[in-house]
Amino acid sequence: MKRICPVFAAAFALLIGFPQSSSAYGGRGAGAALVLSETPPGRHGGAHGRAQGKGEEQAHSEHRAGPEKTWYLNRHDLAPDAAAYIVRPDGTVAEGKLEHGGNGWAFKVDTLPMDGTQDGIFTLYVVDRIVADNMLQIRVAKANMINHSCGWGHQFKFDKERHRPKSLAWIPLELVGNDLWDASFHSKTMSGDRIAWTVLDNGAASGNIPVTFTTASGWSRTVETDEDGTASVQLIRDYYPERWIDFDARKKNGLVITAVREYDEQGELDGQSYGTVRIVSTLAWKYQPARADYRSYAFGLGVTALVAVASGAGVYAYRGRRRKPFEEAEPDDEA
Amino acid sequence: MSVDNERWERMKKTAQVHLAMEARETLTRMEDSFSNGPGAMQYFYDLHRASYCDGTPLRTAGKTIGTLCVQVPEELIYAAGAVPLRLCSGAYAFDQIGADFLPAKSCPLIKATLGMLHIGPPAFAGSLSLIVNPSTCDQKKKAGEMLEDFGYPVYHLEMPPAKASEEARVYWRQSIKKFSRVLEKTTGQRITEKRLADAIARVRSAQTAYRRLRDFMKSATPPIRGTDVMVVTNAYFFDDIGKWTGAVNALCNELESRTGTGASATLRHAPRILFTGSPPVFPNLKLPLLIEESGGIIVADEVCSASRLLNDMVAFDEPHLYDMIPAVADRYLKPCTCPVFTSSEDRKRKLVEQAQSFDADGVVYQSFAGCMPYELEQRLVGKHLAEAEIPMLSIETDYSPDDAGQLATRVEAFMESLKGRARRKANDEVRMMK
Amino acid sequence: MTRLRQFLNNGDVSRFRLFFQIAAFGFLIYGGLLAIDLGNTVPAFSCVFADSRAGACYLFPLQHQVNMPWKQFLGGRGIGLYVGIGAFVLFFILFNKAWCGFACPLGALQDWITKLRMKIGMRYSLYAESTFRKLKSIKYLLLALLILLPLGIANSLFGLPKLPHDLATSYCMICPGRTILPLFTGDVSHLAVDFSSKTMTVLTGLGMAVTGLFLVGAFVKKRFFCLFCPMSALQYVFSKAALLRLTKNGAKCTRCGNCYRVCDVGITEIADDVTSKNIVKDDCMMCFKCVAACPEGKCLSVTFLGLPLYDSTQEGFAKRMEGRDVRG
Repeated sequence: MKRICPVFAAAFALLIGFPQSSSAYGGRGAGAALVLSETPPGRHGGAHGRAQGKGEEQAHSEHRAGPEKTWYLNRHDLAPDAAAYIVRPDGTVAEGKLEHGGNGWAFKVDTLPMDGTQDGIFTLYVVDRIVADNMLQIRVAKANMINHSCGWGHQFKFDKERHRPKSLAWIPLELVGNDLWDASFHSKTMSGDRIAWTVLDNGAASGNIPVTFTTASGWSRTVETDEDGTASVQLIRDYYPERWIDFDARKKNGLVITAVREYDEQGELDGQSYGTVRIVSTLAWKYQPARADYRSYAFGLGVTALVAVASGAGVYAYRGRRRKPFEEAEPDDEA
Repeated sequence: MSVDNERWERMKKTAQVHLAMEARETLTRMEDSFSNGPGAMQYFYDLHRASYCDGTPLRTAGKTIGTLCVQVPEELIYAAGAVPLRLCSGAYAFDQIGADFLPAKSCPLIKATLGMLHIGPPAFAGSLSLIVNPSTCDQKKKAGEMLEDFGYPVYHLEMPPAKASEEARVYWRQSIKKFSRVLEKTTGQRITEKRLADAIARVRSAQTAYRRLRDFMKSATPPIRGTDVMVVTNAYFFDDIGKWTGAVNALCNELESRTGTGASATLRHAPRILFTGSPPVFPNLKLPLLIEESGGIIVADEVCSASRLLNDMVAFDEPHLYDMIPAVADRYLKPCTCPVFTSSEDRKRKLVEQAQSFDADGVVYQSFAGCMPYELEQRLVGKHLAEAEIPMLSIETDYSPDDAGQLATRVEAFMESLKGRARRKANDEVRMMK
Repeated sequence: MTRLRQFLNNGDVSRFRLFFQIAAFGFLIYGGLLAIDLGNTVPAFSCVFADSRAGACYLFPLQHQVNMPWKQFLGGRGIGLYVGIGAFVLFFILFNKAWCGFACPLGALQDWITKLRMKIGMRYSLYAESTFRKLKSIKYLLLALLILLPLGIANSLFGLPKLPHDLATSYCMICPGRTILPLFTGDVSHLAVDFSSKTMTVLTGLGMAVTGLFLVGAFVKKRFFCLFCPMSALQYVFSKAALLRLTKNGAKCTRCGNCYRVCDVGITEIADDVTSKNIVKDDCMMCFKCVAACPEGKCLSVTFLGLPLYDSTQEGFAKRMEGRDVRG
């Protein structure tokens, strides 16, 4: 997180600055999407309390659960009725307390008790609504947070339900990812993978919605959902550090998935009437370098074969010594 | 020349006659003194009579391979399609022949064996395809060379002078592996896994039968005499192994039916003796017979003409020759308690263990005059037995019957002291109980 | 009771062990599919990387648990470590080193490879005694490393800088269990060399080299890996307290060496030591082949809590040797 944050923040800031399509970003300055993130926007990552090394982030966020995590929003312009929701793995829903501090808007997610009862995926939402220019603008920011410690055991290994992130049925325009974690709750989206997201409108699959996939490195693709509400795209492979030694296999690259829906509807909110509704929903996700980029079966099996053949030949040669006659030291013929 | 030839023929005939006389005398002593003995012993008496007295040739299938010393692996000989024949002789008649060309101070067993072989292979044996002589004691080593001089084909089986070190064990395994090749060449038959496994099984049956017989002696009222057991084990030298095993099992069956009937080979409170030392080979059962005639009973022995022949069983891990042949080799070296090794540790432990499990009252240690290994070990063994509070009587003797009287006195005295000791111990126990 | 004991003593423990090992292999590698979970302190190589395992090999959690700063040893995480050690010891002392001989999947694999070699009729290899003595200390070195390296990650040891995090489970990276056992669950991912860092490259490369050596070694030497196994070293620390015992009555021993001959690991003390009562050495895997091969009655005995389970008897020995199948 620490390393990509400035890249992520800067790139994304750049992105949302450019209107890609009038329907995606437009309207108020606050019409830009709301995105949740684990680190404060535009800053170097906060202290995670441990010495950082390569691959350290994964150890912190995936293998060692923490009692509390703070999630930050990227924008300061939250509507007064903005609310944060925390859906726990057991299905219970709690409200998060949105606070505006030095790092902008943030809320804390409490994962106590840390005994494995809340072992699983937390789903976080921030929803806000405002009416401007006769348009009701609803912003949904969603994130999935894993709360897992290997020390709690892996009893949900074969429990598909537990691996599916929970959602709230009333969320207008929600993004749900398929197959995001492996059986041990390690996230497995890798660059180059084909990923699929489903858009749900109040719980129902919603077709023909444009979904944009944007990586922190600047790549972006927009796909429309099919009649099942699924949009799928093949992620770019974009991690090529200059030197081999700089390669970090556990480096998480940010990914934001955005869905936008605009439709006509008459209504009123807080005394203001509107004629169109625009929902911009985001989900913040991460992906890591593809294993094939740094792992080689050829080398592995080659080393094994080499060592096996060498030791086999060694044993054979050693056994062959028994057949040789007893060797004697010959005295030098020179007087 | 013809005078020498005549002398030679006369010597041969005299020796045979004397041998027959010795054998007959021993057998008569045994058969007569235990009139209520198990009928199955008759097989063994008759076998000895036939071989030693009548010179009836044994019919053996395949070639006969003579062995001197107990370290020659019989299983390999059987697997190569031959039959082993232990050549060590206990005949005074042959001893006298050997005395002609061997030093006066040499071991009587060597003199007898060489004497016997000097005038030809044993009458009952037929021809010997090979004599295998392990390099155990000095006298056996030189005896091997002398046999070559007599014209016999001799194979010197190299044995290490120690048995606990890794080098010694590896050396012995190599020696045995070489020996197996020699055997194959002698008999013309390859040693295969199946043949060796069969041979091991056959020897194991014999060993099981022997242990079964031996275990009867643990009883407080043994149903058979120790000298009878020695005759049985002596038959193993030359009898067909299958027949021998069957005869021993028949004997055991009979003994089983006799237990509980009160039939005992000995009087009550007879001193129980563990016999050890230079091997008493038939017909030289002089000292064992003396012991039993003086009222004792030999309940166990630690000699290479009896228990050492048959005690340890071969086990192998993988059913292939690369494991079975070294397994056979190990069995003949590792537990061997022959005094030719650098350490007598195993022999000392075995004596104490045998004394305890057979409840022996005392040990009689026989050493032949001129037998350096046993005479030298006597002090070490004696000390160890004294520490274990087991009384020991050391007797130095040879094959000649002249010292019988003197020996009888000493043996009887020993028996008396053992009886006295037992009485004192019983009194002490009674006193302690009070 | 005597009849029962006679029945047991006549039994062929090797045949029993063959079936037990197959069952234990299936149980430990696939038991997770039946939701069986023995926990994280299994004293055998029930590899963590086999997804459907019934419990985890203790060495992996041990390396993880030891990986903490000094002051945490007195805190909650320290308690986790001590509880883990305690649970491991409790599991272990039930069956002593018979975990190695009867339950360990990697041990079972080596035994199957040995059976293959036996079928081909190829001779096995033996170490010279001096070589054996030198090699057996490797397992203590590996045990020390697998504790020290994680400690060195969380703390600065001997004035050295803290070690890279990739060394966290360095033993698992070089263990042949990691590469081979997951293959039985269809997982080939551990056969790759991981180039993502220098440490990982070296560790995974070494792991594949060890795998190659393991395959050849297990083929020519019975139970090749067990001489180097740090789990064996760790178990031996607690072996004297175990409930299952292998004892020897040295007075009855004739030093015939049958027990040494059948010993897969090649322990000489089983045959040559006639003074010790508890004859389990650090390499022993308590397969009890020695008891089965001893022809002297009650010389070697297996007891559980003092109750005799399996004694060497002459009758049993003869029966088992009769039953050997030797083809021409």
